[in-house]
Amino acid sequence: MSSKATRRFFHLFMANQNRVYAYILVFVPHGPDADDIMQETATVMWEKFETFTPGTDFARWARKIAYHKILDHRKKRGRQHVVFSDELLSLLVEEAEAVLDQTNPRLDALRFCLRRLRREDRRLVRRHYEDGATIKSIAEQADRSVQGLYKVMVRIHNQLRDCVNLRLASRGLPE
Amino acid sequence: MSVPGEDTKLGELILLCLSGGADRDQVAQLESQLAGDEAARRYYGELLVIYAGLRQSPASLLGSAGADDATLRLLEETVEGAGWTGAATGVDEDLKPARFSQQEATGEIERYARRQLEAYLDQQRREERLNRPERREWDFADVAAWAARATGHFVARVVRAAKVSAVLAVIALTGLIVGLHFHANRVVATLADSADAVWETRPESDRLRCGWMRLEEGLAQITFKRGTEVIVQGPCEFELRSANRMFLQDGKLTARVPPRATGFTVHTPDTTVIDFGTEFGLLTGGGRADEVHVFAGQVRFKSARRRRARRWEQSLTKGQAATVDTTGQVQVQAVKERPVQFVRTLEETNEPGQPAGQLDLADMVGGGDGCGRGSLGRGIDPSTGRTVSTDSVSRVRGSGYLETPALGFIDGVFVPDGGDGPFRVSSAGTTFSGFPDTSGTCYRTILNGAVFRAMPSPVHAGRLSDGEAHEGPSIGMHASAGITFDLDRIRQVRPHVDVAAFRALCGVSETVAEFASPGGAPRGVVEFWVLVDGQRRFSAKLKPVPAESKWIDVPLSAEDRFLTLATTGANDCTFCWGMFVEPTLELRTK
Repeated sequence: MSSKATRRFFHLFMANQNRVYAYILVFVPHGPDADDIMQETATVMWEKFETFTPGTDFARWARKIAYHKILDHRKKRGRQHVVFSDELLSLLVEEAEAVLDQTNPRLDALRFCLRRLRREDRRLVRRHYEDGATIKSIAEQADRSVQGLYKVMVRIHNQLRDCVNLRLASRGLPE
Repeated sequence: MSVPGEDTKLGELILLCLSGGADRDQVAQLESQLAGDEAARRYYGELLVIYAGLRQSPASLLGSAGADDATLRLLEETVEGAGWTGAATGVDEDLKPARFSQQEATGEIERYARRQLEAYLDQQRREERLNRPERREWDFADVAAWAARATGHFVARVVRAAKVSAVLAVIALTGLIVGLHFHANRVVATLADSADAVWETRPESDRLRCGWMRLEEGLAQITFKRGTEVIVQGPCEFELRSANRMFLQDGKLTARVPPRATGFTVHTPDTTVIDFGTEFGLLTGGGRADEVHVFAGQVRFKSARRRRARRWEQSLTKGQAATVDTTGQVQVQAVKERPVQFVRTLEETNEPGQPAGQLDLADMVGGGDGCGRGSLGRGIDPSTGRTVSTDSVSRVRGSGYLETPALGFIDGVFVPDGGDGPFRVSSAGTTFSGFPDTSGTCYRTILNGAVFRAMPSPVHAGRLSDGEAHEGPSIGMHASAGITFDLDRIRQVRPHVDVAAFRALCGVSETVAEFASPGGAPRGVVEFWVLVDGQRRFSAKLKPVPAESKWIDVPLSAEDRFLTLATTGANDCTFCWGMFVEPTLELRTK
């Protein structure tokens, strides 16, 4: 692949990766598994990038690849991990579409909202997501109960969600 | 659906699943909740997007320095996995972290120089070993040859020493240059927090170096290395000069100085404020006199050293405010007599997602979301619909109803005038026929934080009481002016609450009696209006002297959409300093 095509791939990939990852999560709501699928999807996207038609919807193209990888995963893992029923999945995919289409504005808003968190909450988010510490390990280090820390994390995620919705609405975007 | 934010069960199940910690029962519970509840599925989708962003791009979202490590790692693995190596240079250039930090850069230079020196010395040692003579029997020729070689070695050693000295000199020079550069660009403060901050040039990281910065809008909290916390309010232009000193060219700031940072100094073009362990606010520029408010402790407020005009110096203590005009005339007043201009904290008591039961409409006028994030002193020009950062309007004719789609929850503004029949009061075309015939003129900006002015008196904070003083948030609305809030937009953001009522204390500022000039006694009364979807829900005619005020309590239902607040005064009305104090939307959980 030419250097120019390489750059174009990475540009498109970086602009759409969160959207594709969120799409995978709808089907496979299990972070570690979703990471694996994302890795495999990214590899196939890279290998097949020459088949992508410039000017068309890159996210849609990427989601098709991701979908096949998700099916492979479901065949391999069965219900070993979190796998929802087909009926629920069809509902989720249909209804999540509107939210997923807003992924990038939502993440722009999220960037803002993260800065509005209390310092200790932001530190917790950073430890969990950036440093990769599990909630259990953070709880052990902080001498807190795992369940209590989950409640804190839910409160933080709810704050972020409300703030993102507020931000989108105040900018005239559908929440 | 269980209300997200109050019942955390659904959120816990989702996070457990995502982190891989859920057992089969918990997965089944989640599946059951999602299958039977559309709102739960939407909540789930919204959390997935947040989780996806944080898991894939934590560094980018959390504002950490450098590129997005997760993305880079994924891309590197992808490329390596695909056996690709050819275009690696291009990828590195585009996607590697943008730049080294200063320390890293210095370290790199030093390491490079040290490696060069060590490599050079190694080479010299190798050459020396290769040239070392083998032991032989003594004879004159050998001695002569040895002497010649020894001389050669001596010369070589001298040359080598010279080279080593040269390399060391280069290292020292490099260190000196880096040191000087370091000193001039050293980190002196941290960008600790911000709210709606729009920078002319966004800081590259939270670590702030000496230099100029301009905050166009919003608030930013800067913590200096010596511990002083400064909140700058946009628009504001300033220079960080050291770990305990800054220059404020134009704008407003509040500084909280701990004892260890005593001596913290802020210079402005005309004045200098030196702190003695306290909290103070400072305002400069904009064609106004410099102004200092002392909230705690003591400061010294004095003329700038290079100023050629009259030198002056004033000590101020807690509760005192001082203004100084261009001639050096200092006027000291009580802080409470001055308009509230300074934001003193970014800490929120009413975080999104934790409805405290109320939303502040004054905050929305200041560009906020009703939770205290708006800017005090910011408002909307009722004759143009534009936001303005100061009270800048002065006697302008209205132009009908002006929609303000960019202003969050505010639907529009207007200058009410019933002289020409029904007057439009919302973007949906709702009209109201009850406004009196006014001059059709507005005198002041609709402001977050009521301030008024009667020349030659200074700008001052408005004041209302109903037996006891009310010093909460306020909307200044000099008659005639009107503003309409869109309650549906608020409901969209907070789907789990009902907007139950509007409450406020309205009246004409009590300061009219103090500031109205003897020859210009107030005339007329101000009529206050609250309309809901164009229907009158409250109105009251209130006199300025003696000051009258009245509580408003208007119940609201789920069908009500447009809430309009307005003030009107007759053509000859003077000192119509209308204000709504503590204008609040009461929320009720569904």
